[in-house]
Amino acid sequence: MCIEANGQRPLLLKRLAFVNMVKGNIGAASVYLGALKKTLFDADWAKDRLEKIERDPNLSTDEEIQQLRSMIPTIDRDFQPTNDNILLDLLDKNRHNRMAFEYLEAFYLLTNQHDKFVENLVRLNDFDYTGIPRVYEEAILLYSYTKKTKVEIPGREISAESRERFNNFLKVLFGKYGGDKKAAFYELAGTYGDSYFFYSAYGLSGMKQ
Amino acid sequence: MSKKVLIFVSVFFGILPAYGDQICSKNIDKYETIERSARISPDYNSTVIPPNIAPLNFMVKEEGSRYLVKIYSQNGEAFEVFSKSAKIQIPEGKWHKLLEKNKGNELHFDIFVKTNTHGWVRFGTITNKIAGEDIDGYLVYRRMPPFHYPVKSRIGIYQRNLAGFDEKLVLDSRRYNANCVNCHTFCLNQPNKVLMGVRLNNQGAKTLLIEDGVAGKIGAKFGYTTWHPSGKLAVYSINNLPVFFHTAGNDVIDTFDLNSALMYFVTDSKTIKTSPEISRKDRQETWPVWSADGQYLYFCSAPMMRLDQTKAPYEGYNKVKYDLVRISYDLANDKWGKVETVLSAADTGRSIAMPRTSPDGRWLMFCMCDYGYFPPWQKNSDLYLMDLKVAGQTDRYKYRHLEINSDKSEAGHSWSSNSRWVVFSSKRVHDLFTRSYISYVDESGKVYKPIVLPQKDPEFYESCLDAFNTPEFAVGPIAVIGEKLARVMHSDNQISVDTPFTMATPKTEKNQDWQEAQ
Repeated sequence: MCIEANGQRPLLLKRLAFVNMVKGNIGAASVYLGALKKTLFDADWAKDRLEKIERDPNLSTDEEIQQLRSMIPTIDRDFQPTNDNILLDLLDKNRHNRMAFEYLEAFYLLTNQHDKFVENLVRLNDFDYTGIPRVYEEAILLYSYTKKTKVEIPGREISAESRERFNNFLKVLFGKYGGDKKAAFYELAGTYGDSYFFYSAYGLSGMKQ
Repeated sequence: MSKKVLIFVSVFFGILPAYGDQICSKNIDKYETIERSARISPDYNSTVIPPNIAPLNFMVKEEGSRYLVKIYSQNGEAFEVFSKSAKIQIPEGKWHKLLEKNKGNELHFDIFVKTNTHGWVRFGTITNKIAGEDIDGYLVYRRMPPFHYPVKSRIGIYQRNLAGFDEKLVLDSRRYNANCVNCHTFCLNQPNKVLMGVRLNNQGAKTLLIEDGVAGKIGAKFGYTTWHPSGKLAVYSINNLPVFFHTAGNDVIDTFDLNSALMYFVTDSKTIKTSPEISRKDRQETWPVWSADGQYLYFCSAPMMRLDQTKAPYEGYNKVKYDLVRISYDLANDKWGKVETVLSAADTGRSIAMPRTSPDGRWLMFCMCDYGYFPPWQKNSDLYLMDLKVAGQTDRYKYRHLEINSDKSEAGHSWSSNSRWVVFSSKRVHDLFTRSYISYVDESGKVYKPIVLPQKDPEFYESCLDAFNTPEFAVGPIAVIGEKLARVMHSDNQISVDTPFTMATPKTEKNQDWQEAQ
């Protein structure tokens, strides 16, 4: 679909070739590689992969491919871009799939499904995060504040810095501006424009100067 | 004379090619012999080829620095193709002369490769048989990206001269501002009676009718269509076909039929009709095809499943299996008989789709897949053949699985006008990039190893991001194409038709199966 929408860009051809190699669609992968072979900068990458396929048609000795194949979901569902099933399936298949976890939590945060976000925080211990990612800390603080409940993650603590930022955010919004979000916008954007507090309040991100 | 001088003289007097570049087998006095035949791509080896097909250009998949192929048969002059690369492109004139003189004979390729280690090597001869019967002169197919959904992409209908490599655009969705150009249906493989479905951005779905060099537009949507051999009417399906995607497995895109029925367009009166027998409220009818004599309409039929549309992906969609049925028709009195089962899904265990009768009336080729009506999107779809002559004598519809099937999807087949060739769509080599394959069918119904539709550049398919689908043979080119056809498509003029109902609807439980025409 991406080719149909954006044209035969080398970046897309490369990604589609790779995805099809992982899926075992070697015939389709070869066609994408064949098209990529005609481009200027990725021809060598394509030739190298085509030679690999020639030597090992199922790519059974390629460690990266094998590792990715082990993570392919096996539970069949109707794909909807607006549900979390496929990400949960990926994590069921491999609980160390960090990309799936981060997409899942990001999906919950973006769609304000805070209960589900909190429910899945326990998975943090399946990965090698040091502490808790800042945005997650901000979301946890917000959740605790609005739900009047404490969120515990075994072995992990919310940093003092995040707590202080949240308290300051509240002071500015409710103390200085009396909860008038419109009036507080520019001041909050300047300091907290990259925070989840700000996103939750305004639906915008990346506003910090 | 030194080599340099000779090259100068050659170039100066326009004598090409230069010294040392041309080799013929007579000059190769010393070579090693390898018994096995050389690997070539596409695989044009040990099969039957049409006597009027374009040159079967190929790549030699053997390491070497020079390549020579000697092409010969029983009659006529042998000729040779020399190449500095592994790409073998056969001169059209010599090819056609040789094939024309050798209908029914064997065609041989002797392949010589100059290797770095062993000098010249000769591989075992590749032999194909040249059929006695021609293939239809044209193939009309769609070229499109593998996915047309949800992004509406470019779809083109093309006609290809099978004796050469000339491919002409018939209609293109993007160039001519259409949403989609759909199936094209010929009456008895004749290009002067064609129906073609189009979906227009501003007018909705319409059908183009090309008759004797004149194109018109019918103000109705025709689905899968079949011309009665008389050319007096065409039966078509109306379907409600949602598309969805799987999260697991390689075939990610899928569809099913929520509701369908058959109708027919009468060319003289320009009217659309149906019969209760082919538009039953408790059945889904699709994939109609006429018997060669026009006395029976074959089609696929499944019980109406009340699919739960609240449960993605429509729980139960993969339980729907279609039977093959037929109904008699009396053209003179416009009377339909009773539906009779030819082959039931309960007996085969699989779903039957895309029946196509051979023009001589002898054979019926069809697909079977695990469920549903649309085999191209199912890896397990295979082709089967039924002998209608034997069935007529014994009243038993025996069928067989064809040897030409692969472990990928085979579907979308069409017969040549002489019933000796079938073309079908297969994903056997390039997965989602469907290609058109041609097979010879002998009088006993044996179907021979298929060849992929030949291209001038034998590496063409290796980087072609188009899928080729819905191939249909035609004995000549469609007369109205391109701009001319597009003008008709966008014109305000259309053949207005009254339809018994506009679209199948799933709301059958409310005693209102069909939406009344406005």
